[in-house]
Amino acid sequence: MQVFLYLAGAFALLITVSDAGAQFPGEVRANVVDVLSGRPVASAEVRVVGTPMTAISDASGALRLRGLEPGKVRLLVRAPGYARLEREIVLTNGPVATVLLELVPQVLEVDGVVASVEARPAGARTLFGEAIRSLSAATVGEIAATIPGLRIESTGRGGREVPTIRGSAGDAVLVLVDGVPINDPITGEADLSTVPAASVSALHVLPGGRSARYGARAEGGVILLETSGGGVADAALGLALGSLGEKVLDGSWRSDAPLGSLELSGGLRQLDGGFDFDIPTDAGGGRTTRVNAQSQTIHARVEWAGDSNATAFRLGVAGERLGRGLPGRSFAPSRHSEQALDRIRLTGSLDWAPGGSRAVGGHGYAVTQTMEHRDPDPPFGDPYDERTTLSSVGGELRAAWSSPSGLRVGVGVDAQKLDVRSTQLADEESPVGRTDVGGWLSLSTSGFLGITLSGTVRADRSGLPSRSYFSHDAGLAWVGSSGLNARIGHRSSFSPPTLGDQFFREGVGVEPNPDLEAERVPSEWVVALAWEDDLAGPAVSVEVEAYRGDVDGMIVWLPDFRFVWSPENRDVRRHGAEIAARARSARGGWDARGHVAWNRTTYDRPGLEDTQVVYRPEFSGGLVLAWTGATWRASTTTEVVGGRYPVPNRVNRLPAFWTADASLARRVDTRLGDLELGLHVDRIFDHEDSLIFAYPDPGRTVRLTVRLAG
Amino acid sequence: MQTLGKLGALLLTVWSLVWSSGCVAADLVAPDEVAREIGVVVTSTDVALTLFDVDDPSDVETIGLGAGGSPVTLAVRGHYAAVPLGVVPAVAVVDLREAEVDGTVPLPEGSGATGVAFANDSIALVANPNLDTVTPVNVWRGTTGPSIEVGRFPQNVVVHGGKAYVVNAELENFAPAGTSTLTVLDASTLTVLGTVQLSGQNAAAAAVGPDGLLYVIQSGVFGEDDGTLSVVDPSTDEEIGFHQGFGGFPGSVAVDPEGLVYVGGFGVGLLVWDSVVESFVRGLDDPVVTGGVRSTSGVGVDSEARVYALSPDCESPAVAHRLDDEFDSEREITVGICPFAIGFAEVEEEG
Repeated sequence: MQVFLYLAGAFALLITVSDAGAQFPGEVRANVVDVLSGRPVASAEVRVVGTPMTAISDASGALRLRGLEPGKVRLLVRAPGYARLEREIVLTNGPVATVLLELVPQVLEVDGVVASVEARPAGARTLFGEAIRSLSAATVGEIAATIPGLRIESTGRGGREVPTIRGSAGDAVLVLVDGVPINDPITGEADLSTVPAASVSALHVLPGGRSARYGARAEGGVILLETSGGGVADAALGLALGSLGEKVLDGSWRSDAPLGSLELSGGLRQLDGGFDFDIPTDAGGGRTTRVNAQSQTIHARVEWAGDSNATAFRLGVAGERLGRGLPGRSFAPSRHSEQALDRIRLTGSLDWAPGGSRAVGGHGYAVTQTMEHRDPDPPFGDPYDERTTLSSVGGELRAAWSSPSGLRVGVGVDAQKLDVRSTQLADEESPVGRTDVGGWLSLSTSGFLGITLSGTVRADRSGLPSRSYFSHDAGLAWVGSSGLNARIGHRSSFSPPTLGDQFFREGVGVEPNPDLEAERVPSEWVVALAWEDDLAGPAVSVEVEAYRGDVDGMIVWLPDFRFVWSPENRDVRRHGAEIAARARSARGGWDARGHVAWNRTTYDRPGLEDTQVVYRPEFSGGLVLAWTGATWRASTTTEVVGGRYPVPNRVNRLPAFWTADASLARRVDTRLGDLELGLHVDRIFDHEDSLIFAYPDPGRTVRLTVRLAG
Repeated sequence: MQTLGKLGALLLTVWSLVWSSGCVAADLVAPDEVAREIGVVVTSTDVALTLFDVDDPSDVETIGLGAGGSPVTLAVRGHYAAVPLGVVPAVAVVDLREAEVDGTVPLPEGSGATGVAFANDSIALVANPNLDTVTPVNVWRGTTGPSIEVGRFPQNVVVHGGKAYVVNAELENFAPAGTSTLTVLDASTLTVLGTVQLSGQNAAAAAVGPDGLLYVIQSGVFGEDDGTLSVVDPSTDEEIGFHQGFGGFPGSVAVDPEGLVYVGGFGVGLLVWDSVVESFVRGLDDPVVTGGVRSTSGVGVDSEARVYALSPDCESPAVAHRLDDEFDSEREITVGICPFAIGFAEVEEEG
């Protein structure tokens, strides 16, 4: 508490410090292009290393950075599907510097050539470092929740954060951290809370079926998290203290190394988690105290990366350790339930564009992970002590070729070998092994009237069960000269049963289902229209996207007529639309983005037609307002979660709720570097609602942060 | 001063009489009101009650009980229904006349609330199988009294002849740890009068027959076809009959005015047992099958002696079948998802 008060006093003192004197500012005008084709790269983020200044390239690949201090300036350039690029330039007082930034494609296009359309700011599907930092989020789930169409199923602060997209199940969203899938092999779900927010430098959300590019489980969408190259500074040290006993310490250090740079980062976050809350009246009401909600995460990462002569490489090792209590629902608290996770990831990638029109590359990874769940005295049922160990290796080889006429061909193969040993499975002594392989081919052509045609086909061979799946993704995109662009796409995707679905340990009232099939979205249509322009200064963009893609055989756990529960395949109808808008002014330093999402995910069963699937809000929305000045930074994030049903019928509807977070930070130049002091308030109006019934939220909480970057 | 005191007492007495007569009047049918019988079905998956008019079953209404829970039992008295919420340690009190939840009364943590019966107009006794207790709940005030220790894993309660019979499954870790018992309580004082030892395992439900005897259905071991029926004489609180052959996991029981005992089970369908001659009318080799599935999750008898069998569809709106004299379905009533129990109540409405 004393530290907390000291920090508050320091914050009060610092806001009275006068601004540092500024020199006559310099300006950078840059053009970002694809080194293969020479075409402009839209939506690339260019960051001035060591400052919060960023700019996003427009449809012509152009951007401007104003108000730069004279001297050496290092630019960090990132775009979805391209290797990271760093360039150092020298600015003198006054003049404008012009620079060409050539990006090496990773052949990891977000969506073939359509990537640049999807990743536009209007879609707000991509968040880079500064946008992420402006949210002052404590968890990756909080960051991702600002993306249209994405919903986080959380069990409370410090608890699980499972993303779902456009009404999908949690196990139908593939999450890759630096190219490594983190979906749990038992449940199929990815828990974003296992990835520390401080470690994330970019987040890309690809909504809709993406199996044609990413294979299994990319049915509802894909989330790509990058932890490398935050580019904040050569060295940084951060500290945060907050409500619920939150303590955060993280740091990073970067240095030149042979062929590139070496980056080290790490940190820890601890949360006591206890708070008083109201028990829902549906559960009898009253007030009680949340216990066993503590959590602790530790993360560390070392990465060696570089780019030269059209070659980009990256080699890294990262680890996460998580320990937390699982407090359960408010009406049935688990006072002794615990979860522990240890994970080590080794990753490497190499991309090479030898000139002309060719590019080849690949990435590989190895992961070892141990997950434990235990409760010696659960509120219901027998004590348990479960342990799951996992080891996996995987990788991808890819190549691309483009012709002067605009034809582009990409091809790739990927494979993953997974070995799991778990006490949760029927045969806990024998590891379950599976090898999945896939191959894809993509073609695109563009040039005529700004129209791009693209198509990707993919074949997957699943090792368990041994089956083949075929997916496709065909698209037509048009980019007009007036800032208007449009696209239409048709896709198919799949999500196979999880090991838990297939091999769980049978017990009283539960049975496995050996006949379980993969979920399939055989036909998904996507139509999008976007517009962006500079309106006398501010860049404004609006994007509307509609989709329809029914799910055949969604895997759900259901009781049969004997009330014995098993995983079953059931059809679900799904369609919806999202509207996203953004306005930002580089000169004024402000950025406003908002979205409204409408999703209809309904049962395809007699008597339940038009009934929304449980915990799928029909409407949701969000608004992020951010302002960055020379020394001050402020932002507010508002999220609206619409009414939803907790049961598969049109009764017991939970009302809509909204939350608002606010952040204020100030940067001060010191001899050691930039010192930023921040104040962040979660749920500023003290709303305690949550998406899922009886997982209480503490309401308003406060966090103070200090960050020194030099 | 004494005069003032007497006057005050007189006024209080008069006021009490007026007030109490008003209360009684509320429970009687006013001249401008008509009584109608409604069926009340508790459905577990959607945590709801389905109400239907027994004379016009097409008139159906659904009441959500809450966002969480796993209700499988209910009790009705007057125009109130009490529904224990299972995994949610609480009991929902429903005003059937207004078709809305009057309130949700919290029970001790970890209750597992399953099984309920009214001891009188205001007190419902709710079984807490995870705590081996029964909690008295005042449905008018929304309060609870001190819990009463009973046998292991109480799953149901029946009130008859001034006594409450708590149906104890005697389970440990969801498996039978011995033969079933009934804990006998004085329904007025809620004190334990004794224990009735039964011969079967996993007692699940009980009903009172026209002969005044108590018929207790016992599910047996899950996966085994060993369901049994015990007959208990409330005058001596002793088991006077024990019958086997009730198949796999029977869980519900009702008795009609003729003494036919209807037993519903997940693995058996609907069995009919004649308590007078002590033999099956429709046994395991010839069960009543409704909706094409040999499974019945609940059974009930209305005031006109019509029998209702619930089909246990747990992923879509299910059906309550009203049976004719030949035990064929004469009427299908759509209810909520995963019905488990059915009760009947008379409610008043403006004529």
